Amino acid sequence: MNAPMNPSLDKRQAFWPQTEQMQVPYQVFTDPRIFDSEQERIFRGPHWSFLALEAEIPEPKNFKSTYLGDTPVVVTRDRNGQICAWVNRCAHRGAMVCRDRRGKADAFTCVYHQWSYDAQGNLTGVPFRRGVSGQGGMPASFDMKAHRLPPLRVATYRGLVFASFAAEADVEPLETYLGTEVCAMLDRIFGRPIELLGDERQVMHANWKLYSENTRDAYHGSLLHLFHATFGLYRSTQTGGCRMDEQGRHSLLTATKAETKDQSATGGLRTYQEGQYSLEDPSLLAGKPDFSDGKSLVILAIFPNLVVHQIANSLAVRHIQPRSVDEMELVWTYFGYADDDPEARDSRLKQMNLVGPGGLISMEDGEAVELVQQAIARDGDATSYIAMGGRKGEPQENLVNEAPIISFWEYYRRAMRFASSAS
Amino acid sequence: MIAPTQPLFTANARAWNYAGDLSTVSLPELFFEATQLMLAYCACIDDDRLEDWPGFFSPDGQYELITRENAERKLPATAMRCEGTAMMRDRVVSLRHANVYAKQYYRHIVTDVLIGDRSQTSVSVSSNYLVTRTLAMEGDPIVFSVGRATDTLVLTDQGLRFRSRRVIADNDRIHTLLVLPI
Repeated sequence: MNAPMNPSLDKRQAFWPQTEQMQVPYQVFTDPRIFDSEQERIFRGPHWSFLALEAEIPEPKNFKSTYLGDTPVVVTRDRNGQICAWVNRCAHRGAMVCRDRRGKADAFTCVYHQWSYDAQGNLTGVPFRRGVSGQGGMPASFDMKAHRLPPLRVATYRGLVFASFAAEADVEPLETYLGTEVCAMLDRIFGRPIELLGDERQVMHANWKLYSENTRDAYHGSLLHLFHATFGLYRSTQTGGCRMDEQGRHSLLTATKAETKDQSATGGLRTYQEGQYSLEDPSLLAGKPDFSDGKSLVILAIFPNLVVHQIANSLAVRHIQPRSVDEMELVWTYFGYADDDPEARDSRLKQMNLVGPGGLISMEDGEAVELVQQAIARDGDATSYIAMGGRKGEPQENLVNEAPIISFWEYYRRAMRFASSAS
Repeated sequence: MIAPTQPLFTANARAWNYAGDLSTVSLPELFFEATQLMLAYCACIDDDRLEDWPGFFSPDGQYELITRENAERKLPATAMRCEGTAMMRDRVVSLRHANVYAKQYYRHIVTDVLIGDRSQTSVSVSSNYLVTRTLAMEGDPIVFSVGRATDTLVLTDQGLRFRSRRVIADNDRIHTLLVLPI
């Protein structure tokens, strides 16, 4: 298991330069072989992947079909309320068993030959198993218990459902995997019962890791997204910081609204031609804070496939679903709190204008990651150059650094067992 | 080219201005006027005259773009939501001056216009739409959105306007980003 991943990749001298700054070879965004290896070493490796909010399957027999990496999976509650997850592929001839995105059922029957399963994924029925009039049928040795839907390990934290392909001995307990700072932020956001507001689905024609970088990137915030600056609202000098877990794979970006403005640092970039316009309807941003800590922005990226955000009053989980080396789907699931008053609910719904694929703050992200994918079609040996805030992926008390991106790549390289040219 | 700052329906403006009672308008005439409003609205967006877009609504007009997935679950999350024309104008200012996106064109195809319930002051109209999006740099259109709009039109002194427009998209996946209204 400790062999370098792919000899034809690893023997390339230039593959992953060991340099003072982080330089990511563009090949990791374009090579289908690397995408395949990621499915094994990351999505089916010793990691916990997000599958659902418990609020999406609130009652016994509820289910949701989704993806873990590029594998179709179903997360269910059995009749006792126990959460289960299994690969959505019939044990007989490989057909997709569950063909609804969500619903309520305690039996799942493959339409092809009507093999049926319970909510835990156990095989419960095989038509004509004994044949007809002594003819046909399965061999007498056929053992129903040996043919079930492949199960996933499931764990929950604060109403978030995670799953893993890894054996129990190979993956840390979920809380350890998340780490104390991630858990503390989930405690903060999911400390009250939530209520679903709905989903948005965004297709990005880009490798999933470009979005992982984007959500760990505090540097781009005030440069690419100009909504706040254009309307004379707070932005770049808000205080903020970046935190990573011990392994460096998760990232927590936070910003606290500050009243001071410091234009000297920005040298007259277009970002800071502030106050040219003002909102005709400021109710868009008028929501009352949900938290007393002053944090107005939280972008929590949990490796490998989840982002949790709080942007003013907007709350959502974003589920990253890699589809191929150059395409991913991002499912945004918005929520509020079950005890929201009508005013709070109204603020959350209005602020949907700010976030998501059509969000006035965030719409540029889908395009930014595609701009990279389009430009790196060739020259897999060429690399990015990531060094803002220094080489080391250490916690930062500012938002002009790339530390979480650096630490993401350090972890990724370890998880993928990529050799570096200097080692 | 029809600009909504002028009366939309010059031929009938006088009759529409003075009749004041939609329940007495003949169905063919109402169908014609409602269809004209829809087509002028779509042309405004397709021609990149976004500044004119809010003018198709009454001042308290509501605009909502929601996926069929959320609508059928009776969940309120929208891809775009404007409550009143001020929010619409804010979105246009943001698109023109703050947001960064590739130059792109929509082409609306509107069909199956169906006149529904009406009162003296308002009429429900539904229609199917298909919108292609062409990125100027790439050149190929994609089917960007397809679905049904359910609208409530009211009579103003400038003719029919949207009091509410709820666009329900069959496609629940948005490719790359959503810039323009539908």
